[in-house]
Amino acid sequence: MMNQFLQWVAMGGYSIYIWPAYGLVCVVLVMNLLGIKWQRQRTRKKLHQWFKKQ
Amino acid sequence: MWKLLYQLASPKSFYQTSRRWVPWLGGGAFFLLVVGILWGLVFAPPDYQQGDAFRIIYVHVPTAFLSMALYAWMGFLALLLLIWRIKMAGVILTMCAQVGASMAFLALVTGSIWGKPMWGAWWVWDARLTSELILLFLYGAILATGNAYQNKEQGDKVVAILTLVGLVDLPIIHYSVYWWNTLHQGATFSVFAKPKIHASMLYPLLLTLLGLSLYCLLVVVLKARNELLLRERRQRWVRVLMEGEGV
Amino acid sequence: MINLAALFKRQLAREALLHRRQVRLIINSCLFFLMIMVFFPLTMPPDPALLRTIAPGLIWIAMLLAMLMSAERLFQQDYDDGVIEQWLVSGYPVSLIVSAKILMHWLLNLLPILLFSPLLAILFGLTVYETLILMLSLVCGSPAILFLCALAAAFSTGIKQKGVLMALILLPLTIPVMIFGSAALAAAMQGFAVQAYLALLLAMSLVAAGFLPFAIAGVIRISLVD
Repeated sequence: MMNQFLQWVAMGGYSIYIWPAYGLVCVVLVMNLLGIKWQRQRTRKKLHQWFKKQ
Repeated sequence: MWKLLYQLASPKSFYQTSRRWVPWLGGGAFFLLVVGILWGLVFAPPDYQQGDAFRIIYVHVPTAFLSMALYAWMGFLALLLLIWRIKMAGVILTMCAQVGASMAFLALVTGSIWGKPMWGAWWVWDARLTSELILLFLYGAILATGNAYQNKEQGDKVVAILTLVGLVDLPIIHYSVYWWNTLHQGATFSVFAKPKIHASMLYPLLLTLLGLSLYCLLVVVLKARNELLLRERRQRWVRVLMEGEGV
Repeated sequence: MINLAALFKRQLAREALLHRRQVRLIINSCLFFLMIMVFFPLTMPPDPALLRTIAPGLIWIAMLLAMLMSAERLFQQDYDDGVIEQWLVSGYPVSLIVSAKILMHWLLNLLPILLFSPLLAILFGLTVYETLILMLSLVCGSPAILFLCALAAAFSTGIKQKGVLMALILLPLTIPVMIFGSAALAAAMQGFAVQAYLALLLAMSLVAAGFLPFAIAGVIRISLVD
């Protein structure tokens, strides 16, 4: 069982190519979404200050 | 359908209509991406020639396709903005640029990583790779120009003009690079000679392609909603909405 | 309202006069061009065959950079003096005025580079025929480059941090002209026919000169109206 899993991770010797590639894609996709979340927080703060000034 | 388009053209109704889409887009994108990637990584059989390394195709092809599809879509939005003066198109145009740039970047990096075991080099001056690199530069130029304008509506229009000039130039660039490449390198092998791909390998590709498209749509909609709150802050509906959320 | 032909001629005369009063600007871009052409051989092994191989690409790169440098100032002075505002309210087509400006800029900036071509021939070991083809390709291809530089300049007038933005915009857009321009000279060096390259370059320049002024006028109108 474990053996099979390790074999799959090894990806026929290409693991140092495949996993970083997929990893980078996941990182970029997640960072995009996180960035939106942070931006929304910044927007709320900006709007709050702007409304207070009005 | 026209009713939907009219609804999308006004900031307030875009904000309200898109609210219902967000969970579906997010859920759909997540589901399709996970299923597609798992299928591609685990269940698809290894390739006859490339072994397991071909599995990078499941992230490389969707990102490359989306980087070009998004640019074409941006061109359409640019026309909507400049000719029909639909301001919402300008907002969406600017939001698409960033996702498009991420996609182009990922396409280049995953392609480079795929190329190393296949061709033995991190980079070759192949026509399609060079064209993709130039597309990344175009996205970079669009992002930099958009950021340089304080007045966002001006920025949208200028970015639209730049997008259109780039769109017209893009076929010329591609063919001149292709011509340059065949002259200087002599066709070594066709990088993208797609042998007929077997169904068991094709379906996960379609899934990830669809999943990534939904993801890009999700990101654009979320960013547009955010941007609208800022731009339309003088309108009453924003104030009411923000007070409702406790801001 | 004067008619359009008279307007065009008047703008040409104005630009010529402005350039004559500030000759140092043209000299600046010439010196830059020369600097690149002289430093490359100095920093590489002085192998004549190597120099002949890189000459086409190098000359075109130097021309692109020189045009980029000179175009940075294309609209800045007029913007600072309020002349662009006058263009916008004058009722005349801004694209025509912009075309006149860029045309005269092209003539006056290209001329020194063309005059340097014999010098380049000596430095890089080009034959008379190759020099002639070089000059022809420069004449055919540089309008496209300059109009694209003008477009980039229009984008960055009125912004503080210009230099990076201009180069970034130009980089992808000028690639076709650069490829075919350097290929023209390279083909001449190898004895191939050059008519196709010159025709393509001329076509690109005509398209650029025909359509970009409208894009430039649009950008000026949008970005310089507050």
